[in-house]
Amino acid sequence: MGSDAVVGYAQAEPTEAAAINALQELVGLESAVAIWEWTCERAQVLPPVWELPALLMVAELLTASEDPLARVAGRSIVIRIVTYSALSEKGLLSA
Amino acid sequence: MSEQLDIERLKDIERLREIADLGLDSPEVDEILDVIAREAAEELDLPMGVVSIVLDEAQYFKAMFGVDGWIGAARGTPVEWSFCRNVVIQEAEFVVENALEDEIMKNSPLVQTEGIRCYAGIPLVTSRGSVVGSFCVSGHEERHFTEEDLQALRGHAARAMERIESRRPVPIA
Repeated sequence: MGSDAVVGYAQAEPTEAAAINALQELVGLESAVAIWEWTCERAQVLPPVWELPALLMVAELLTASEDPLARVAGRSIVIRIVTYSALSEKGLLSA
Repeated sequence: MSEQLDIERLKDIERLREIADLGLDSPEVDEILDVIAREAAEELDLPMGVVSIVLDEAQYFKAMFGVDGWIGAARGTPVEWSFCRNVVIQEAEFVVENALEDEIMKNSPLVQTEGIRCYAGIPLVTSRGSVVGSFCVSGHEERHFTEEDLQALRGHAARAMERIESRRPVPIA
């Protein structure tokens, strides 16, 4: 934890696994994996997706998915990634 | 209400499908909703007004007035920070006059570091009965909301809901 970290901002770093899990809760495991792989392909990102900018790119494409629930999941994932990135840039993340 | 039930309500598939059907997850700016959010904030003499759509894991600001900085740029926050999730979970108005003394909200980063002190949110209920989010105002100082304040806010929320319903796609015969 940085010396100026704020306890309230204890955000876990967004990961591909968390994103797929969130998607799975809305569309089921099989569809989640298929949608994620298809979206990665469209984003020209090769899974597994480790880097945050690449994860954001996939999530942004997910918000334009044909599946309405995948779009909703994508919007949530985008907001969580953008939030995490902003806090990280400002050095406001707790351990 | 248990945490598990709270989560189930936020992740209710029909509710989330309704959000998607109404295009409330889309980044398209709706200037009419922005105007309603501004008018509500101005009428209640508060710095912020928001049409907040509560998604599965985040709240998304479909329309907003006075939300600056990185939260405004993100157009939302993680759902666990939000005042508005309580409107959806409770399916009821949620009013906080002093967030520092509110058991539910006092530890939220929106209170602890963003300085939000007062909040009033009205459920946004669709014609199909889904609570998709909250029409809300908030500020940085403690505030007592009168019944007159809440009546005014309900009026603005009704206008916002009317606008949202007008976005519903017409079924093809």
